[in-house]
Amino acid sequence: MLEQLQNVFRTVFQDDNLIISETITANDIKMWDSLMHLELIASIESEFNIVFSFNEVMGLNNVGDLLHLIQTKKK
Amino acid sequence: MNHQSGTDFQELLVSGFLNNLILYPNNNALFVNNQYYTYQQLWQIVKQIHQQLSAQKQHLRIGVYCTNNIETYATILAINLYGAAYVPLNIKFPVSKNKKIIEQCNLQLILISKNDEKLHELKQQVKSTFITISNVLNVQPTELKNEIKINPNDYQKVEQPYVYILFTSGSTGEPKGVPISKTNTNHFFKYFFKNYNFNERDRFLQVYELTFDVSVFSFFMPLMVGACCYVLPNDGIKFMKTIEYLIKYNITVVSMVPTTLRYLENYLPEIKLPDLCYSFFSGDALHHNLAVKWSKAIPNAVIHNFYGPTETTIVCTRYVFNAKQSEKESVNDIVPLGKPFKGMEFIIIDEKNAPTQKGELCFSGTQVINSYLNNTNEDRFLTYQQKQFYKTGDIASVNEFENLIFYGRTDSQVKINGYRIELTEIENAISKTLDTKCIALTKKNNNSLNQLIVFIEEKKVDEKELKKRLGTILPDYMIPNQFIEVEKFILNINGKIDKQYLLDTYSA
Repeated sequence: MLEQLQNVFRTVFQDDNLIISETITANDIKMWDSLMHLELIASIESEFNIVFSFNEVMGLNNVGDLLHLIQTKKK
Repeated sequence: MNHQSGTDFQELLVSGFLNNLILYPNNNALFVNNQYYTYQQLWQIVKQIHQQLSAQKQHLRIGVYCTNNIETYATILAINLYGAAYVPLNIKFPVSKNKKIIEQCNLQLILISKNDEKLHELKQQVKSTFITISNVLNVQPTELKNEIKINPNDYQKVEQPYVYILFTSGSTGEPKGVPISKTNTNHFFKYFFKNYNFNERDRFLQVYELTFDVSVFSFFMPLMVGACCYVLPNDGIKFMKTIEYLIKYNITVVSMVPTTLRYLENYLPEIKLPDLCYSFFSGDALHHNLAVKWSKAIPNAVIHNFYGPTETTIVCTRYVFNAKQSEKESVNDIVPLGKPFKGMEFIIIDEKNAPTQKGELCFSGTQVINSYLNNTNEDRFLTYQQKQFYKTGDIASVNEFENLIFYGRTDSQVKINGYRIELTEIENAISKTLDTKCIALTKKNNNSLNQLIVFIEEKKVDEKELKKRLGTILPDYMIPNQFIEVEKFILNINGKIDKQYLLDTYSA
């Protein structure tokens, strides 16, 4: 799933070499601002066919949280 | 406690803080980096920095290399107490921009609290003295038993007219200094003392960078009424953090840019903020449909839409939002700017500077600057009936309810997340970097958010490399989202580059 998520990140941030890990946060990717965040969330929802609530999105602190949330939603 | 003092309003902004230090020494004054500081603790830190400052030779303007920490906020208070004007430098700005600000202000002294690579580079390029604010956090608060009243005059070391100097985007690439005087800020805050009953139980949220003038309201206003200022951290996604803080800390007063609502639009039905009492907007056009949705998330709050360029001291008009009335008055879904504050007057002029119904909005009055720093005034001021008016560049008219209505700009200035951006500044930076013609434009994306797009003529672009190089000249918020290569610019019937054609043809 990390690889699938990484592909979404690479598409959104237009960077084919982007490597993500569970500890990565918005502070680690220069382009990850509010605008890109909206695009990222929408792309993840579309890729994994899920919809996040506001509280779920607000609770995300890093890629690990995101992965965990996707896994929970997919169950 | 009624804080509508009015008549005995003191000159230094810090005076209000000093009064509340005596009244509420153990109230929380500041929450920053997950730590509370009471009025008493903050005062101890301010005093330490003030001592460090006083040990230097006298300075009328002092730079602050701003970062989100207690030292930065305390430094601003200490400079105000010392009597000098503070000039915020932004840790996120490229070195070249901070350097220009230092040079234009002729800053001899800059206070820092955090070292980074860019600061190291900056130090090599300017002659100023840099002083690190240190050891202030180890100070233990002492009892204030003998201090019945702290007289700011005892601490004031220099006299000069300004509180702060901020810089706006300039079309030539040179930032323009806007010196805001004590008279300007005193009139600004008088309006809020007269029209609002903020008190020591309020919790304000400070979401702005200190180079953005609304931060002056969000930081100083709570300290003037004995309340607590919560500083939004720099990390994470800003609009998410804003809501998180509003909920977590039961914030009662917040000022935001309207773009925040655009980011939140899809989530607004899920948000409930019953503690919020005042929701202020400024910095960009507030859209009626979004304000209506937002009003449902904040059942106990009023929404006030403010307007004002930096040159008119933070904000100078207000519209009290009411969904029904706003529906009648909004034009192009944009909520009116409202009526000017007391002491301010406006005229609307045409291209020949003659009064007209719909045209460029100009302000005169107690909150308007007399001049830009170093008199770089160009044609931004005009004299009408023996009064000096500042030309805002905003197109406006007055409706039947005597409220100002906003339509757009007379020039190429745009707003991105509330930041004032001259598109020509971006074009200049790219043209110099690539040695080719280019056009910078904005286009709304799927979320109706403004995106910066640059069209470049006859040049292959390595986008990553270009963004990196532009990052040394422009702040992050001015770096375009997209670069589009165009074979040849098409001219319209007026002989100007057809911008609409570019948007329609290349950026669909």
